[in-house]
Amino acid sequence: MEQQSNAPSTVLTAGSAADAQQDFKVALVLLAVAVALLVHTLGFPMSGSYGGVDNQWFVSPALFPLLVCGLLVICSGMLLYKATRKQGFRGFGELRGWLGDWRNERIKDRWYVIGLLLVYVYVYIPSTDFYLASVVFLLSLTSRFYYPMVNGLSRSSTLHLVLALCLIAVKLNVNVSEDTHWLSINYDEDAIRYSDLSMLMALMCLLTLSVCFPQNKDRKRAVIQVLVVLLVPLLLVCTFNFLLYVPMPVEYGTVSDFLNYLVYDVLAFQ
Amino acid sequence: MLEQFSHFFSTLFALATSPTNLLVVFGASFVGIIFGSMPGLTATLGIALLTSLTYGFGPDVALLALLGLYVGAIYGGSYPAILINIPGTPAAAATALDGYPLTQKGQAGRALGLTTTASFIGTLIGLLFLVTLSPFIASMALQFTSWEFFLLALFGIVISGTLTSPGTVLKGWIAGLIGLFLATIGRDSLQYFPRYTAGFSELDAGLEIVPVLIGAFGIPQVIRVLSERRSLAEAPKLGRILPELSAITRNIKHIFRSSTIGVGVGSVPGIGEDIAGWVSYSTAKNASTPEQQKEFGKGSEAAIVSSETANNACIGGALIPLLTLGIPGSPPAAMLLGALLLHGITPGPSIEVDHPNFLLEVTAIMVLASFAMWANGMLLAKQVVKLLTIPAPLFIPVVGILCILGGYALGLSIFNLYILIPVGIAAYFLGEMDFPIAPMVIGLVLGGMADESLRRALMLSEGSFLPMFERPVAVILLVIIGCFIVNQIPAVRTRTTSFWAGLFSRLARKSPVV
Repeated sequence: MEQQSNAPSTVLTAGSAADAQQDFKVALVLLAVAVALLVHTLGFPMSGSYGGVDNQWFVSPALFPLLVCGLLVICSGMLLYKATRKQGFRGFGELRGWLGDWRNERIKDRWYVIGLLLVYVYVYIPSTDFYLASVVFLLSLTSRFYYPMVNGLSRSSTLHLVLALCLIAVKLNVNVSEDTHWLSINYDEDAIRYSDLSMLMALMCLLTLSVCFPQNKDRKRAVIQVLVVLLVPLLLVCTFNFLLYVPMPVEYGTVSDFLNYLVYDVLAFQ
Repeated sequence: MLEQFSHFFSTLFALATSPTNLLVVFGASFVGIIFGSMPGLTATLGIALLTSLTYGFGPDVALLALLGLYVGAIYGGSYPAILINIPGTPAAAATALDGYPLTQKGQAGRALGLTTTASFIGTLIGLLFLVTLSPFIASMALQFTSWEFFLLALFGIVISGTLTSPGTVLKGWIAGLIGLFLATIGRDSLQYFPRYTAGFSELDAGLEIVPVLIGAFGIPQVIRVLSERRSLAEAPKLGRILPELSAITRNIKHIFRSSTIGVGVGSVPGIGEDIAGWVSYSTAKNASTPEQQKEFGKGSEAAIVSSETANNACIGGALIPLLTLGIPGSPPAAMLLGALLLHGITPGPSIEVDHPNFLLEVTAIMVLASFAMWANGMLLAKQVVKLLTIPAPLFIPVVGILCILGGYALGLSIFNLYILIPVGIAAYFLGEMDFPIAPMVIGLVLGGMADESLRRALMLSEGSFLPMFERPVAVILLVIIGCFIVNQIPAVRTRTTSFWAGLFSRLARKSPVV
């Protein structure tokens, strides 16, 4: 590590063949994106008139982006050239080179976590109660990494796929007349109830699978997992909702409604 | 001068006599130590998450909490580095080399006590530099024109890109340029023209800095720690923690030298505590006698004191460009900048005009935070060690939820999350391909300033670049930027390296270190 920090920093430093292949791919993607952005930026007003104001090239909104995109094209081009000289183009067409080797557990775990993050943020949070969404998210991660279940990856992935499709279908069907898209937050109470119900069923399935089919039976771990998964999101929701006054993304979620009733009506918290 | 002294001490007294303030600073410092000590959590991530929690508080309380956590987290990284040979933060990587051998010798408590005291002294010396140099730099920066600000932004990106990506400098520069590009998203400030908004009105005001930073630092950690399935060794029991005075006096020269190195490295935009730790470690090794050098890597006191003093002194150094120029000196300082902006405080040359005595107040808070860190380190070390037994697969998913909730809470916009996640995933893959994230963050933070300053300067000169060469500071910055770029040409690089090596060896022959 010490050697790494003191290593000579040159533009043309030697690297392994695998690094060169990786650099080739990333440089190519960056170059393509930078060129596309450069072309898009050329459409910005340069010296005509915009909004009734005569424009000069030096006050144009395109000036700085052109400079940045131009430099990005040059740097990506240099990285591509450097990678090409080291035969980085080899294995360019192989899917494994882009997504990683699927037989490798680390690669599987990486895509599992990324997939869960995507589905949690883009599907679950805008559709259902935040507490339920978070419990399912937490349980999916802990049942893979902390207290793993048998065939966890395929079971959990299938369950999330079905759940995500259900939630998108509910959202689009209930609010089909308005210009709702699948990313917008659910405001329709019926849609929220249906979504919460789906989420609750998924949670029960996941919980049963996790507790009943563990890879190695460990009662203590199972109890800790269930406690953490159920209590930590509750603590977070209560802290943000009632102490920091941050309303949850879906305001009329089942658990949020119950907590509001409990805190404001029963406990009369001001 | 006397008035400033009295204001400093009255602020410190007011802070130290308020139970609420004490509770906040001690609590934040303890949380910071936990963040620093848990492998996978970093100071930057801690500040990012606390920013969302302190959003509703006044700027004074928020600053107390954020700075308390910052100081605590940088120090906290030394716990796992010493006890289980895994640096809690990159800043403590150098500490692990000699800290763990001390633990193996049964001296874990002594090592922790030494690093706690060294970190405390390092932070205070860093603050001394902050409070003495900042007014001078700020008054100089008040004379800067748009050219200087444009070049300063460019300077920050070039330097941080070069120094944070020692393998392939191009990757550091590309990361900086990506950050600059992200900063151009939204309506431009001069003509209100929408740039790269893709029709989303949420993007009109540009990308929110804090959620983007949470994404860039938090999400990659979640993916990385879980997919790498890191397992930790069991931490040993601690003995006496309070160090003997003789151990401190024995290492006093290392403490002072490392503090200076820490401040120097910290004040360079974008490079942070980890570089300071390594530079200080190697300098201490080079400055030691051959017998002492043999001890390095086997449990040398000088080694752990050097790296820990430097990484905490770096905090004061990183705050110098942040508070006087609005340029963050390290990734946690970039996060702190985002937090300050959220609380309506815009760091820069005019900060003393907009918020009189702000520098003194920050210094007073930092002094209190240093004391809190030292006291927490001495009294609660055994409790922190217990926390190291919590397995990463249990707390890292919770950190993921905190990142997401924090990103949403800042502005109550779910759109922040739609930006946070792709930024986080992109940052993870860039990190996997050895692209440093710090230049990207610096680019994002400084992009707006660079864009506006360039166009404003050209507007005043009616499109001419000549005035840039008439300003001494601008010329110096241009020369430095040029040198950094030209130095990447292999032939030039080889010559400059051999020149510096020759110069240093000649100097070393003339003044041998005792």
